[in-house]
Amino acid sequence: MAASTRPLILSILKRGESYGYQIIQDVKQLSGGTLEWSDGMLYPVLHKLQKDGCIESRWVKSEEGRKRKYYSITNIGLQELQTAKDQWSSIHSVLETIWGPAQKWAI
Amino acid sequence: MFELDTSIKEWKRSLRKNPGYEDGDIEELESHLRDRIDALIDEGESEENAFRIASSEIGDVKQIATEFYKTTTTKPYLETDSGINLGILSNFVKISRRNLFRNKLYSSLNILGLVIGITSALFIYLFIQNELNYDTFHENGDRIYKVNRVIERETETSTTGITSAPFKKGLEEDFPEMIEMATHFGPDDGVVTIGDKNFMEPRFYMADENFFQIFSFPFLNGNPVTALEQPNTVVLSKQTAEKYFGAENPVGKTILVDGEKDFEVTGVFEFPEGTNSHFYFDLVASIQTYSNYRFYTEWGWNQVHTYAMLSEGVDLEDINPLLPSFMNKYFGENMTEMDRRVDIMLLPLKDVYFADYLTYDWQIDHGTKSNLYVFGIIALLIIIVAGVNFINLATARSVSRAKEVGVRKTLGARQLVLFFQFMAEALMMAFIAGILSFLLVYLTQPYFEQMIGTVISVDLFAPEILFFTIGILTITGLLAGLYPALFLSSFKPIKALKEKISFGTSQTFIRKGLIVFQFAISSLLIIGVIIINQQMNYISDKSLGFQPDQLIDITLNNSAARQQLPQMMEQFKTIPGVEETSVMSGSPGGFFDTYSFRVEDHEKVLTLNTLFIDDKLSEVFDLEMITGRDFDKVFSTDSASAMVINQKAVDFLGWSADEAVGKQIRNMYLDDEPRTVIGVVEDFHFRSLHSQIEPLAVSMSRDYRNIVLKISTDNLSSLLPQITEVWDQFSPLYPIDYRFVDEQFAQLYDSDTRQRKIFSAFSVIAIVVACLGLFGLATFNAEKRSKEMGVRKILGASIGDLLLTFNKEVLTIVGVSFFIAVPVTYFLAEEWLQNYAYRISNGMMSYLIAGVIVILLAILTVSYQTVKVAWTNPVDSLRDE
Repeated sequence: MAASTRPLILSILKRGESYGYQIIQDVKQLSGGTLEWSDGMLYPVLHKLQKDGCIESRWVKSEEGRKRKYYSITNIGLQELQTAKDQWSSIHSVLETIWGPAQKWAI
Repeated sequence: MFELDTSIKEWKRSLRKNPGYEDGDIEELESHLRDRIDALIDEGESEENAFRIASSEIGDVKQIATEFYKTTTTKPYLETDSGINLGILSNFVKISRRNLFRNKLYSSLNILGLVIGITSALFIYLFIQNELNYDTFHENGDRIYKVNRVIERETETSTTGITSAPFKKGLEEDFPEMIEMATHFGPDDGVVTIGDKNFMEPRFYMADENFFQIFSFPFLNGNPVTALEQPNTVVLSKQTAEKYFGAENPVGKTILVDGEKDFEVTGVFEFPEGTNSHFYFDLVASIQTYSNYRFYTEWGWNQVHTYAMLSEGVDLEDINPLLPSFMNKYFGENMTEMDRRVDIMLLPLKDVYFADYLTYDWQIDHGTKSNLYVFGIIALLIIIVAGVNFINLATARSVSRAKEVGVRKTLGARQLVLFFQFMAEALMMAFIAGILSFLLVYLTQPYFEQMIGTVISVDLFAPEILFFTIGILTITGLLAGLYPALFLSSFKPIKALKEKISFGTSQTFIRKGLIVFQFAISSLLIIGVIIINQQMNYISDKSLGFQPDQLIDITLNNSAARQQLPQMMEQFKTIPGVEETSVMSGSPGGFFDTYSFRVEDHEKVLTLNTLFIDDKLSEVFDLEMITGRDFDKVFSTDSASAMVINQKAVDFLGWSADEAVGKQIRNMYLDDEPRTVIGVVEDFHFRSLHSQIEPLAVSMSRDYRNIVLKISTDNLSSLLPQITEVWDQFSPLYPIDYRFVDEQFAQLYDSDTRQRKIFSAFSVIAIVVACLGLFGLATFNAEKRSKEMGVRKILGASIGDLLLTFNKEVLTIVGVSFFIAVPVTYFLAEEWLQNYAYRISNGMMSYLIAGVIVILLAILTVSYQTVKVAWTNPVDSLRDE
């Protein structure tokens, strides 16, 4: 699993509460369909994040009767995201200097 | 036809096979899958395609499971040194729970077996606690002793629970330093009249003023110290007081007893809850009321129970050496004349309940101590059988868990941790079983009480019972889990993962050995049940020498009836259906006196059973005279100077029947002149078949306590009311107290019958548990060998052949266990049958029947599974892999 997954999920959840399937759709949309892992692999990451206290979850029953587990970001999550952002921007600036023009979303 | 829901279900099932998924994970993935499928269908895909795409997009379920597993489990294994911490404990519980639910058949077989075992053990423990809970509530219990008399007899000594009333004062006066006080009580019955209502009170005691000072029955009203000081006073039990006077305080009120005497109520007591007493009474009246009766003043009139409370600091050893001189003082002359000693034996209160050897111990409850051991052992055996199941199923199943052990060891789990994991599983199962058992006991206690014929006063929720339950669960769980845990945790990871684990000979041997053990226990119990049943049937079918079902025995229990006896007998004779009437001292199947006799040709005083009867001995019992004649009213001298003895007495006295006629025999207590033997009557069983027929001396002395009616049994429904009507006419106050003599005899075997029931019930339980275990093993074996069966079938074996192959092993095991059980059982059965003077032979038949039963049960248990697997198409069993 790529190191980018955690900040990716946290960033999506920072925009608001969401559930697994929706998160996957967002990731795909944002990445232009270039991500290499299967849908199912998202869930262990979500659980790990929850275990670390970065996100919270609750079960919600949708209007058509389907149960969905909604995740939302916590303060710890926000902090981790901030740390990650800082790291990424510093790496980003270093690489930019080395490679010239910046490349987005590709480590 | 593609079914979306079915496919999703199957997909979920494939997920569940992987450890790592927790509750909710699968649901979450399912919700994802369905969202995706909906989206794909909206895009125009067919349901089938949508499902395929969606599920493949989710990816490899095993890989996801591994990721999940990592997020939850790896940490504790890697980070702790000791291997055990709180995190891992909760992990133990979690994994245990999963394993429990994943293998529902094994879990339920295991838990069911344990539930049965623990329930039985709990019941038996309750029973034992209840038996040990007698007379524990008396404050000075450790200083209280029951005064018994040890009487020398021709061949043995017998210990009698009753004494005469003067003993109490005699002991107090002669041992003022050693005996703080003594008390005595006489069990009796009486009719109590309150207003216009009569109550028959079968447990109406008389006791002296010390009674409530020595025995600590809590008083609700009145003063225990003074309650029985005055004559004509009475103390009521709480229930009796409520029955008579409702909620009013009864102290100071008056009750009328037997229609002649008024008693003033001076107190109300109760039996403390949760305890038992070896004597029970509803009313106790001051014995002083009867101070001018013969039973109160005569040393030879044994009718009361006497208890002595020793002074503090006085031991039994201090007083025991002085007791013979006490007896010499009061009975010296008597003992010389009788040529035998009678001595006092002081029995500690705590031992009285189990002193079931005490003779003539009227209205005293006794338990049999050996029963406690027998039942304790049965409980232990059942628990062992259930524990063995657990061990066998767990080791048998280990093949399927070998891979788990391999994976976990590879991931860094130590053997110790795995060991604790398997122990945790065993304990968890034991505790689930424990909770279920506790519930079961709680719900079925009344049935158990009915079976054992006693009410259990011990509280199920008492701390010691809870403690026992937890203790037995822990021990069972630990012992049963120990071997499988050691065995499983010792798997080598590479071997476990790469190869199929096959059992070494030692494992197989242990497993087979344990089954042999189980079935040996089961065989033992089954043979036991058969022998007990045969013996009981033998006893109930054995001829007593007369027809007990044609005899009605009415207790002559009041003076009104006694005074008008001849008139009443005449009335009974007029009832159609009453063929013969008689009055007598003894009660067939019940009480018979013994007296000392001087007998011609014999120097020593001899003891004989006695029966005092009118002139109807041979008529009412349908007995043949061997020689001489029966009593006859024609001979006016018969009542004062004739005696009839039975064949046994003739043998005992060393005569022939013909020699006996004309001999002189004197009852040393009742007769001044000897009586002449006028006839010898054939033997009949007047007492329990536990003992041999005893020598019996029959005379016409006027000591009548029972009316015996010989009836024709055709029309009981009209006969009984007529008999009652005649009784009521002559005894208006006392209701009739009658019983059929055959029922009276059946009652003698009550405790045997009860033992038989308990024994049978627990034997069935043991064999059921053993079969549960065998069933589990058979299931496992049949699964494991399904390929073998498939191959055999293809090669032409019929189902019958397969059954034969698979039953051979079981037959050997059960056969071996049976032959181990036989000698042990033979020995035990022989011991038990010794209790009976009239017994079945300990023959082969019972053993053969039991053998057939055990083998059939085992074959049925195994065959069910074998047939199921053998029936399947070999294609199915051989296709996979």
